[in-house]
Amino acid sequence: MNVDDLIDESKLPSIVSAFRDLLLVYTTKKLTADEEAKKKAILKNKRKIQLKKEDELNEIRVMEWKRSELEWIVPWNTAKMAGINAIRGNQSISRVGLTKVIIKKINEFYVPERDSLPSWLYNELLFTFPRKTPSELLYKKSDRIAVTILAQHKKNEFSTPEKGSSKEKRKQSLARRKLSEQITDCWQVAKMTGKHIKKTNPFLTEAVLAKFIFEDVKNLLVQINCPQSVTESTPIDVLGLWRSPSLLEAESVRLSKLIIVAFNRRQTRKKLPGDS
Amino acid sequence: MSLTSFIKGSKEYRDLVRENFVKPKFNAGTLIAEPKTSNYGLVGTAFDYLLRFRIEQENKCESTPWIASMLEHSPSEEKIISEARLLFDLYLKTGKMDNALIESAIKLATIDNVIRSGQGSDQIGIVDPLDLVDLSNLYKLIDADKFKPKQSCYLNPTFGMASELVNGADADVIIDDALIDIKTTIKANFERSYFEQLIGYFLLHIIDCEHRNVDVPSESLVSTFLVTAVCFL
Repeated sequence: MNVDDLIDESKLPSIVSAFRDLLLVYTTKKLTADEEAKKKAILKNKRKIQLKKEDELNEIRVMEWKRSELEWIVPWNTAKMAGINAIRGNQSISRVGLTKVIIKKINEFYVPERDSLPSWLYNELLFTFPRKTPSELLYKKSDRIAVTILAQHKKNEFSTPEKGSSKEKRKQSLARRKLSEQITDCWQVAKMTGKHIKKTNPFLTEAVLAKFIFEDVKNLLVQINCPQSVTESTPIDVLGLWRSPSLLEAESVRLSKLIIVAFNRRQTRKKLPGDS
Repeated sequence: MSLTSFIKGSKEYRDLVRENFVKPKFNAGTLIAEPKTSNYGLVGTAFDYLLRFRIEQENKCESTPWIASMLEHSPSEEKIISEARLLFDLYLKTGKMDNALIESAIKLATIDNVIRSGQGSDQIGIVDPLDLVDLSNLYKLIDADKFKPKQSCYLNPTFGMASELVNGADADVIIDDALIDIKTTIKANFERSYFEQLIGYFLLHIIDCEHRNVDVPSESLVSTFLVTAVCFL
């Protein structure tokens, strides 16, 4: 078998030329692709290093946070016990009075500059001794809270037999459905806000986050002219939903419950000097 | 980029070959040395070494260095190469092929594969005894008469500057004007990829000849397919 059997030899020069061109094109493409792959690998590597650095920074932040938590857990628990004792000693103690007792105790451990307190502690203080009624705050699990509030809303507003004509009943039914939807929407918006806040501040305690969410939903409910009985519905039983993995927060719940009991009792009494 | 990867990656080249070259037809052969392992690639490379040894032992040939001996090596690889050299020198004198040289060929093939593909460095120097059997069987099938040059013999030839275009293409052997590529395969088919590879060598050879301003031998490719078909299918 000769080359003549394989090919028309007159075509060889053009074939060789085409082959040469193909090689050049392919080599160029390959080089470009290799270059691109190289660049990508470098970028990937850079990103990897960056992520590693971010991880390390986060780790440091978590470590610092944990350290600060550990450093403050004793003062905080001591202060809380002081608060609890204060409530035990005087169940009608005002929030301001109670806060003062706790802050005073903390100050025994620390220079009393509020801003230099660890953020979580400040948040705990804000949460545990808020300006508004405590029952407004203790909610975290938005979905379940939403369900509870809706349940409350239905119970409070619509459990009574409807009176009037069928037209009126239909109107009420429509209004009720619309309201339910609006409340659900409010919760969705509030949850999104909560998620956003949590994203921008991952070290925010769940308690404070719950506060943000709940306040948000309250505002939204007011905006849609939700009946006051709904906005003010304070399902104390929902309190039990709030569970935190950390001992500190569990302690806070316990303390909060005590405070709520104290305030509920106080509400039935006369307002005392020093009450806000 | 090797010639093989170019062929795989360039549809235009494959079309060029298809449109301009007539692929010869072969009668399908039968399997004459059934493989004992599935290390086809390694056995094929090792067989290239053995065939090269045989041709060189019986003929006067020009040769390029073993691929396995190129580049820098670790001490263990150096040991493999120097052992192979000793055994090969002995073989050149005696013409007696033994298991030690076959084993050396396998070890050279393990290094060769790493140099060519950049992979398999963990396999260097490892020999499967069944591969020894396979290679011994294949070696016995070599018909040395088919590799008798009348004028010239080049072992493991490259194509000068043209080889550089594809990162160093090297064929198995050129005897006189015939470019021969050895395939040890269990499939008794003359695959189109083999044909495309041979045409690739042929075209690189022409480019090299043009570059060196020498005539292109017109009988190239003659016995390539013949050898492939007869000996090792």
